[in-house]
Amino acid sequence: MPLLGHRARIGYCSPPFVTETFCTEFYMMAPEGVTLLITTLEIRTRTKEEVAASHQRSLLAAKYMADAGADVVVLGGNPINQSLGMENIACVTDDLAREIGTKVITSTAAQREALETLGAKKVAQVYCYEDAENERHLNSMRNMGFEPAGVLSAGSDFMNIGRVDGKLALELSRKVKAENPQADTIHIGSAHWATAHAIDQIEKELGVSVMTSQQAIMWKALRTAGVTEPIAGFGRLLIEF
Amino acid sequence: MYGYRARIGYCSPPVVTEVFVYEFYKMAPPGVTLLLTTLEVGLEYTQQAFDGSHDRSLEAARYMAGSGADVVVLGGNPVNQSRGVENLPGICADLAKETGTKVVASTLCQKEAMEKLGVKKVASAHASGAKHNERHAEQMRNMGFESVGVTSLEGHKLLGYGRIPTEAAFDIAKQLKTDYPEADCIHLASAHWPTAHAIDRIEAELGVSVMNSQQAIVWKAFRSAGITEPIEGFGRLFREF
Repeated sequence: MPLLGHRARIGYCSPPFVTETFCTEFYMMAPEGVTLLITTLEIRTRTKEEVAASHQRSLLAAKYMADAGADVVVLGGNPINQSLGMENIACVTDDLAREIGTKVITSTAAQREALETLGAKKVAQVYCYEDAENERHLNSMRNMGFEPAGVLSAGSDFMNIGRVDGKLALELSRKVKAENPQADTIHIGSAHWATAHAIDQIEKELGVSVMTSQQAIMWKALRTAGVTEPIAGFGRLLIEF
Repeated sequence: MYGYRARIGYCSPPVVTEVFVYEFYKMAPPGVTLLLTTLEVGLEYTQQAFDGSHDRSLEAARYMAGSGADVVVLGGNPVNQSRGVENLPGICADLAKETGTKVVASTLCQKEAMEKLGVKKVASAHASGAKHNERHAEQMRNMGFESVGVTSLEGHKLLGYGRIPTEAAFDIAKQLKTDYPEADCIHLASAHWPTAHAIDRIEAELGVSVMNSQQAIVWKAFRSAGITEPIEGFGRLFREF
């Protein structure tokens, strides 16, 4: 008798204390027979204490997810992952995978691999938070080994990212590409605002590759769990790789 | 935004939540989204887990309201009932007054659903093992309905409910109706094992009403948020009320 997640069950440790958009976009993208196991973490405004507490809750959640039979566990949150030190992330996931007996990946590693797979060189960024976060996003991109080529924000506080207008992903992408025509890729940062619906249009209209955080996490998790077929509607990444 | 019709907050007891989110997005019309916080119920049902979950629920409800949720559900019949059924309307009313957002509790959703369905004699099925049968019978009596019988699937931890085969809901409902032919309602208890797909078949083949916890929660949340149209595929409750 089949399970709901008879093809793959994907564990995701979701940074926002209240998580909305990731689940919506997961089930927009997931083929039949793929389910999400989710634990929400501790990020309310993104303080250092919340980041540290989120990592600790992730480790516990990963064990529970493995025990529940998840095929892969994603330690979500690029800022949480990078707080461990880029050089330590692979070691953390390897050790955890060995301990719990399930594949473990991180949001940061998923996004870096997605950019590599898309052949990205110069990456323009748009994201949902206030523009005080611009420098952090530029540094984050450099830490992943790519050249940043402009950054724009949607200006939302953390609590209201689920209310960001669905048109903004496209509009900000148009603007950042116009201001930074050298960009070959647009990274739509944060997996928790409405972006998945806009990926195809941005790629076609602006002639760039698009990597969104949510799409990259989903792509890497699906491929790691053995769901390898092309998935249409969400950019080159899920179609070609 | 994705939740342009309604945004439903749900405080989900299992620290790792799988089936509720899956079934929510099977039921939800376009434009309805879920805001999720996972709570503290892990491997065992303990008073400590219930207390921690209730506290985290209250914080999540305030955060969800601040995020613009149209309604917040305090999830978990055991978590709710640990406060005393008689206290739940007051808890919801006080929190709604404080947050300015509608607040409902899983227990009250289920009670109202059974009242709507005209239920008199309820047979319950659950997945947490026979040692919990009496707890389920007592919970039903606390909600004001006659419990004519309780049976359980065996061997499933709460965090492993996603591994329950999809046929189990119908099979156990059929067994219940055979064992307790006087039952006019089958209650599939807990919002975290696969049941939504089986509701129509159980009602059609066994001649009973079905109330499952997840269906009742989503039904009450939708109706509270102004999503009033009939929804097909998930029983009389969604079609007729």
